[in-house]
Amino acid sequence: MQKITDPILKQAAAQVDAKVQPNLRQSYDSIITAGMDLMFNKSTNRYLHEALGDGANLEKTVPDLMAGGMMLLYNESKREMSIDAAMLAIVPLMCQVLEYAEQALDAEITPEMVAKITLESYRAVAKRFGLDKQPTINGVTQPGPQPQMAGGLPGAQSQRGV
Amino acid sequence: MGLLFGALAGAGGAIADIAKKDQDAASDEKRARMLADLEEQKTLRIEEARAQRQRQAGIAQGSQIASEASRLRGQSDAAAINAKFGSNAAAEDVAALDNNPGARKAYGLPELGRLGSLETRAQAAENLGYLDASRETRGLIQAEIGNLRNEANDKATNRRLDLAEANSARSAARQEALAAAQIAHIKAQTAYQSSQDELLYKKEARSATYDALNGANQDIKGIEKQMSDPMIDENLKGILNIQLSSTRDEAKRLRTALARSGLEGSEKPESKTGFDPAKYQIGGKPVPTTSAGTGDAIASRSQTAMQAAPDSRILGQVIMPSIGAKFPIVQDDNGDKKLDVSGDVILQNLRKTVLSVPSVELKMDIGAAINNRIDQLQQLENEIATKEFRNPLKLTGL
Repeated sequence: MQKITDPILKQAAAQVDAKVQPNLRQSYDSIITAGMDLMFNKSTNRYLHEALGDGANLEKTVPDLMAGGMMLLYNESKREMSIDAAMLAIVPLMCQVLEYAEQALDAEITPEMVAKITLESYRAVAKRFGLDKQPTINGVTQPGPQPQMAGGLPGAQSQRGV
Repeated sequence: MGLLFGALAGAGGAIADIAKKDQDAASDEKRARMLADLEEQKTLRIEEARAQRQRQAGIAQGSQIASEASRLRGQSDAAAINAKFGSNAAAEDVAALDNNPGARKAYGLPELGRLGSLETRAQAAENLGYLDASRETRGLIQAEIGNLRNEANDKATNRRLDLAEANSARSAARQEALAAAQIAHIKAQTAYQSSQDELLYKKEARSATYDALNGANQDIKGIEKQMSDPMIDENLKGILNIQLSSTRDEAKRLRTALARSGLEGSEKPESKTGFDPAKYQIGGKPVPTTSAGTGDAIASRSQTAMQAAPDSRILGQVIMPSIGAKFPIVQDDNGDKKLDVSGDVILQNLRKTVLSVPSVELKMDIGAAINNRIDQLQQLENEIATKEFRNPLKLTGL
């Protein structure tokens, strides 16, 4: 479990982390580690920083970033990354992005924003993975973290690790 | 044999499980180390981003301060030129003089010494609300003055330098007090639960603004006095000129702020009226209260009226500002105080109030305005008639 200091974000990430199924744990941890590396590595951090701009429009920029980042990781894994685990990793990684925006850009993060960005991030990532046309994706439309989706997405592939 | 192969296969499976667990554990450990390293990277990136933002903000702030300082200098130069030549130049018209010492001399403007530039810069930073930058610049001014004082060997120069330093410190203190009031304002805005809290805050804010205005006016007088010194050197005169101009600007701003808070015309810093902002509501009306505060004011007015009253029975009078009526306080046969609301008094007040009907109302409908006043008086008469009048102060809320 990665460190997050903001209590709202910490709670959101912990809720998802606690519900990761054992068979998805390794893939999930790998995606988190790879995502953190992508965001905070010196050579790639500037993309995150530039994409966030002045932190004024996080409700639009963060879902786009999450979708782009997940697709990048998926392609880097030669399309072997578990999509179930990826869907779970959205919230913790999104919380990392929001904490960065909060601390580096002085952006104000509210529980309402976290709920909205979570929903939009799920939608954006699902759309990139082509899951938005699946009937059970309706479950995503609930605001807030959706750990119960793990393993329940018909479009998800079997767990093959990152 | 079958059993043996079965046992071997079982052992092989167990060994494979152990090997996998070892591999997983190693993998988990490696991942944990990577995560810890990435956490450090994250902290570093956040610090870098914050530092970069501060640098960018500093550059933008510096540019804004320079621009504001140039405007202030232009304003001060234009005022000096206009005073000398009777012209009508604006700050922009004289902006070019900034970089032209020859032209400045020709127009009789003081040279832009380092102290003068720093003072303008500090003032500009204050105007823009960059109090840290202003404080920093004032620190530089203090250091410069310290250096000059060490170099100067005559007492008069030291005295003038002390004055310049004190002016600068006073101005900074005023800004700090106003900033504190502004912070209190923001806190009160977010925290206040009732209109009473808001009212209290507004009183405090007006009081702070009023104090600051008083301070600015005193400074103006002080600086003018210092400038009248015939022995004053040109460099110091330049600084004082800037200080005078900026303090006048500040006083103007404060007067406007006070007027906007509903006290237009009430503040007259030059007069000694003993004006107390806490006794006024938003809109400049006296705070209606039955407490001793307003009572004192009424009693004071009553006393004045009593002195002027020809009738020895009249102990004073109660003024009803809302309708502009005055009622005498008289002593009845039992020795109790009471309001005289007899027909004569009502009529007398009616004449006065009809005459004092505001011109706007007159323009609108003089008949309606007069009727309105009569209704108000009638209502007052009814209310007074239904009360056993013992304490005149209780009626001031009417």
